[in-house]
Amino acid sequence: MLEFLNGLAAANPEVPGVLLRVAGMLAFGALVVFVFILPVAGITSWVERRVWARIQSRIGPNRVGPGGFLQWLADGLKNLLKEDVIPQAVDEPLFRIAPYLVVAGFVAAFVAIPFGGSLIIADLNIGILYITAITSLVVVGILMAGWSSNNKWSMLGGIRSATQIISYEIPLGLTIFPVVLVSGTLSTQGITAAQGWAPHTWHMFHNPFLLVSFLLFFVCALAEGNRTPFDLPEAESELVAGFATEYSGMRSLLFFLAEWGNLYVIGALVATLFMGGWQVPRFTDDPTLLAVAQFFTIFLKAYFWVFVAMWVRATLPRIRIDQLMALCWKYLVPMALLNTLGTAFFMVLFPEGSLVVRIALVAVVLAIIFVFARRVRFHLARARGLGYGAV
Amino acid sequence: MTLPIANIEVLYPLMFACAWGLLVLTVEMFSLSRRFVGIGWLSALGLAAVAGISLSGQGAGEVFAGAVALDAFSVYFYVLLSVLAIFAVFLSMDYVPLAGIIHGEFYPLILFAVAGLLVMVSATDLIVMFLGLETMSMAVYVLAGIRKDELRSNEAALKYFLLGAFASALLLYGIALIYAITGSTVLGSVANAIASTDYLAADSLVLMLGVGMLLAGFAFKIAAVPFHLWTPDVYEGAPTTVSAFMATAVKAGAFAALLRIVLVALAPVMPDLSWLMWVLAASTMTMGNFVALRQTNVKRMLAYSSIAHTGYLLVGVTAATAEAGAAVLYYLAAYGVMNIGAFGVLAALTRRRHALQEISDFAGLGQNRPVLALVMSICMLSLMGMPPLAGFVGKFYLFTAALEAGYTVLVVIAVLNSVVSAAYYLGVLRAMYFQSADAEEYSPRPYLNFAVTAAAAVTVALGLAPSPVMGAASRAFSSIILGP
Amino acid sequence: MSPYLFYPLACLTIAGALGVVLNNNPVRSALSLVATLFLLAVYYIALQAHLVAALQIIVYAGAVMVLFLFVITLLNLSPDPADRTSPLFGAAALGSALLLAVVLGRALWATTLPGAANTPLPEGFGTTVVLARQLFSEYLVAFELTSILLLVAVVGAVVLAKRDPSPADMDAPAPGREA
Repeated sequence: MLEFLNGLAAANPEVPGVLLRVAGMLAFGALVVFVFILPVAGITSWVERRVWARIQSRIGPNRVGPGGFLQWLADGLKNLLKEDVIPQAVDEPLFRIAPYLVVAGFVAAFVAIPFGGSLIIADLNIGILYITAITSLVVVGILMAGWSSNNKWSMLGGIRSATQIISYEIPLGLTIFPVVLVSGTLSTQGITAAQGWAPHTWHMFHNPFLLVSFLLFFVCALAEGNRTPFDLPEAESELVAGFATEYSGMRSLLFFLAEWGNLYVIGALVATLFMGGWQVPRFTDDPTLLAVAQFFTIFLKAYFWVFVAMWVRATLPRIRIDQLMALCWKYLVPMALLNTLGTAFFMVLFPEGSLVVRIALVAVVLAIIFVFARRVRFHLARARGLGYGAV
Repeated sequence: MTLPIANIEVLYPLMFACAWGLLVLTVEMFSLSRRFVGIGWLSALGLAAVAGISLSGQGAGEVFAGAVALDAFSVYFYVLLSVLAIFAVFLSMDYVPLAGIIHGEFYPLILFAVAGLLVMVSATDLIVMFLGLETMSMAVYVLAGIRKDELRSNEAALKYFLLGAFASALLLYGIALIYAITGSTVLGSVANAIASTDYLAADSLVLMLGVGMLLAGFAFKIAAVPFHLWTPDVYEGAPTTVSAFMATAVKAGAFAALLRIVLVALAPVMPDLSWLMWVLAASTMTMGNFVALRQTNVKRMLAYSSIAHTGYLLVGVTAATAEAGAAVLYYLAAYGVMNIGAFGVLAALTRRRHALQEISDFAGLGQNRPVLALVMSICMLSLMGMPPLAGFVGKFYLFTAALEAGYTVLVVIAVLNSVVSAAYYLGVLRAMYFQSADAEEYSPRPYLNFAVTAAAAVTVALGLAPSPVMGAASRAFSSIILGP
Repeated sequence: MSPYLFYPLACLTIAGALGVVLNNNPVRSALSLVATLFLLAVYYIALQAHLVAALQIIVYAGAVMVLFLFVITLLNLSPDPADRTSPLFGAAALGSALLLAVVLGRALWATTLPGAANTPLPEGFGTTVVLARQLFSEYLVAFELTSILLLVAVVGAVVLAKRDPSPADMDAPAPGREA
């Protein structure tokens, strides 16, 4: 990306290089937003509704396009054409800006998320820190939306969100530490490069502490993204729609867009930090083919976690605010600290890592998945035997 | 990668103070009694150990990675600060339950404040010095407001915090500007960089701006006019033993840091800035003394007296000779001990959660509590500068040195000020001995009585035999000027 | 730092800072401060101090300011009635601000800062590795002291903010009670 722009700048010396670069960046950013982020977020909304429907023995959207696939486009168009209602008592400028801030926060995170060995907008040397920094700005937008709406529920939603995001940012950052310790860099590409394509070379199997870190990270990321079971800021049953209550039309859709887009960010981060990112076996020398394979590898890994988040949302009830805080400060933070220390100790004991430990951990995880699958099968069979309909 | 652990002995007193603070903080959680006397003993023990470690570590090494020096100057102040803090702790052991302070963090905060002071006096790097200052200030802000149910205490904490934060910001801005010009925050390098430039030229205005901000920040901490306005309110509202700690240990630490900055980092500039110090000194002591005359509240009176003493001490900083520096160091010790005594008597007069602070409250003390009255008299006379007490010797050294350096007018002002100060110091004596009041019964306060008596005894001893401390002071002072 | 980047950025930053001071509404003031702090991070990026920029955003724009906003929205402060302060106060504030600006501007105008020359940056400037090595060697004492400072701040905050035990508990044996 940058090389291309630098070349362009060299070819046109009469135009200031910075302007050219900024323009190029903007154009490229717009491209990424329209070609990747918007469709992914939109399609995720359709997938989410279908997945819940399946889990809850319903059908879900199936009218627009094949299997209802174009539902997201229809919804988007509908919301774009709706009237943009600004209630009278709101603080208008803040009310208008807030959704953009929320969207900007998650879109900006894509800058440092790798899509492949060479597919990244900017390989920052502080990549992962940058992502945590920029996504923490989302909370400013949410607070702004909550406050400017001039409404109890919005306000409560905004405050809950601020509490939650600020608190969970700490264990989230702490669970990233062990990964950084092991890979010795903050760059997302560097972290991916420190892992291999084979599961036992992934960071999550580096040592037991990292395995725990991986789980903690996923939990904290769910909380950061305001996802169930941590979706208190917009708890429908208590707060109408939380900070988004007063919003309608496209502005309201922007909040949802941010939520679904954020899901992909979470999945991609889990994949990059703990699951080898875009690493594929070197099956061909063709760089284009490799790039495509890498892109689909990380996309599938990320989407697997998006699916798990939907699954969790359809399965678990929402927790209370005091439980949320207790979970964060009394359990997650100490555990994350222990993980950091444990990883450091492990690295002193085994500076090069230990193959035995890695394979043992893979075996443990496989065993857990096996047991889990058997239980699911057993329960399904029992449900069928009891005649609970077409499960 | 290896850590720079050469000379780590230099840090031992600091590390010990911090570690002891943590230890006391932990032990305090399990304290069964709300009087916290055991915690007080533990703190005093730790402070004594700090003094011991720094004495035994003298000459262990000089500098740790250019940040901290354990020279004779540091050791002098380590011992002085530990002693003053031990006094404050002993005063508190009776005062804490009396004043209704229920927070066991009181003693750990004193220890952390001492740790911050130790860093300040031994820092040879502006950033480290600033961090020490902030650690100390942070602890003292909280100590000033530790009586949450008391409005005056809240006021004191808030005032001190807001103005202190402002002063810290000034100080930090000054450091930043100095760094921008000299490219270093290490005192020695700053001095070299300044010496190699024409600092009075127009293109060094930023440097002078930085120096000005730095001095303003310190002027706040030592309570020099015109940055003194917080002092009476804070000293009055804070718990009395905390005021004692602030008026003595904090002032000594701030002066030590100021001396290091003025005489090491800014040494090349000082000849052109001595007029500024002159004005600061003269206005500070005059303002302090004249406003003190009008006070009816002894705590406020002591606060203004402390401002006045800042002025006397600044006379020594203005003169900036070896003798004057040594006299400042000696005076800080003498002033600290006698002020501890004065504040201690105030603390001893506390009734349950009610401080007796007015001059009229001292009426009849001479008959009712002769020992306390004697201690108070010694401290007042010493603060006034009556021979043969420590205050007299200190002033004598200070003014002689300033005279030798050629600051005759300033010394005349200082002497006149001392005469004026007699009026309000003697006012307390008059109330104690020439007015009568009914005797009240007091609960036994062994630690307070012991501490104030000891302070008075030390005041007398320092006046009768000043040479050991004076010798240490002059060795200490020459160590920062002439090197080890 | 390119002038095409610097001047627009500087204007925005100043606008943000003015917004903090001039807004009557505390929430808007705080949001302007968020914007200002965020823009400061952009300067750090332009000066190749990426890590500092990220920390600036996380700590200030992300955490500290959100807590500010949190408190302000919880208190639900109404806009400050501006007429409560006398015009004299405003004039004095403006006067001292201008005075400071003149003094600082004059000083900076006349001074050639030693770092202003476009010297090439040392290898790895601003990267985490270089910064960490500096922190753990040259600035080790300062670094460790910061942790003590933060600990003291935490202890102090807890002391001041913690709810006291009930008065009954406080009236433990009272040996200091006068007759």
